[in-house]
Amino acid sequence: MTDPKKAADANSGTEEALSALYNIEKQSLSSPKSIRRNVMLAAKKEELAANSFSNQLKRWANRSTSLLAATALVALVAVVWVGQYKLDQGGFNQEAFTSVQIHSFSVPEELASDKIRLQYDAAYKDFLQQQGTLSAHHKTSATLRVTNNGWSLATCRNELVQISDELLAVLNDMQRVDSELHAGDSVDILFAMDGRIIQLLKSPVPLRC
Amino acid sequence: MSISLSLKSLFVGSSVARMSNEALILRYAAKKESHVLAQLYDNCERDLYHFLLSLTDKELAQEVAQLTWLKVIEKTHLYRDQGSFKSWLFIIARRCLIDEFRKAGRFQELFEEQTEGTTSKSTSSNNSGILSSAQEYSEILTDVELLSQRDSNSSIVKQFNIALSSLPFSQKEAFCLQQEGFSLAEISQLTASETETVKSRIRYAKQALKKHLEKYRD
Repeated sequence: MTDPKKAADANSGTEEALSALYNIEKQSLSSPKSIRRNVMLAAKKEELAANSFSNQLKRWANRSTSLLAATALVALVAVVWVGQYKLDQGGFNQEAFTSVQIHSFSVPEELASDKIRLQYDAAYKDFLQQQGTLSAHHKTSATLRVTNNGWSLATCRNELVQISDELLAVLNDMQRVDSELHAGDSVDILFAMDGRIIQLLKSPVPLRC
Repeated sequence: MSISLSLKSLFVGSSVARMSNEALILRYAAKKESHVLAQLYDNCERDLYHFLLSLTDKELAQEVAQLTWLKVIEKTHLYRDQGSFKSWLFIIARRCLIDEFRKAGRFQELFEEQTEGTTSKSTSSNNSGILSSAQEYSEILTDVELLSQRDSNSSIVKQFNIALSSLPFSQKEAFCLQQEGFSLAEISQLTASETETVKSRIRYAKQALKKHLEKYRD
């Protein structure tokens, strides 16, 4: 019987012999150059196609689906914000003001406009009487904003004066509002002795805070 | 400008040369750089071509080798970072070869040859035969070493090639894949066969090769 150890050693030698023969044959071979040429030609074509502008764009678009979604979201937010900004017209943030004055009527809505006119006529008379001191003490410059809630006047002291539609209508009736006023204009607000607005005039000098 | 460009290409070239085949194919899949594919080709071309040449005639081996590389370019995105690139390459090559055999109507013929080869050899599966001739093969190995230094086309190499080409397809394939460094499990996966079947095929192949070389030596 063959000694197993010896046989195993000898057998590993045989394995090596077969491997050596296999490798000698392999080393003497090389595939034709034409195959490499054709393969590289195809690879170059693929590279060119992959680097073409449209392909890069397509790849970019494919890879950045999430980026596109995020962009779309940002765009949506921007549109909403711009829309809001347009509505606000002045672009001021109401929450930034330190005080807000609301000028309106405390009378019920059903009050006849005649009654209001009478009130303002009286106030105007007061104004006429005290005109000299009014301009000195109760004139404020502000910027006109037109919002959904009506007109507001923003001063340089971060005060916001809101004017109700009814008051505006009355002032208009009394021709106490400059017809040339537009959103963003500088406005001089004239107050009566009791703090009521009695006139809104377009300021010739732009307001600079 | 040209100096900086050549320096850059030199740097890129050397960095690519140091990369593993797996890293190269992943980079090629991502960037489609032709010089990366060129490096892969140079790394594996000889192994693949020799494998194919061991299984079929020169013309078909060349055709299948080219087809395989073109498929690599086309199907790069299908390579997954599992297993070796060489294994993936050989799977593609084997499929291409079998497709060509099918087209030529040779697949059935190969299958019959395979069955016949397995049964005929299985009757003579005797390990003692191998062991008794082992000493002689150690001598052959010495001859091979000497001959390979002088002339790679030596007659013993020719005899080995004759013996290899006369093996049944499945045995030849299993033997060549083992010589290419694939493990039994990888060969089993590559050829879609059981590991035990692969083991038997390799054993029969080696027996037959040894027998042939023994005769030549006598």
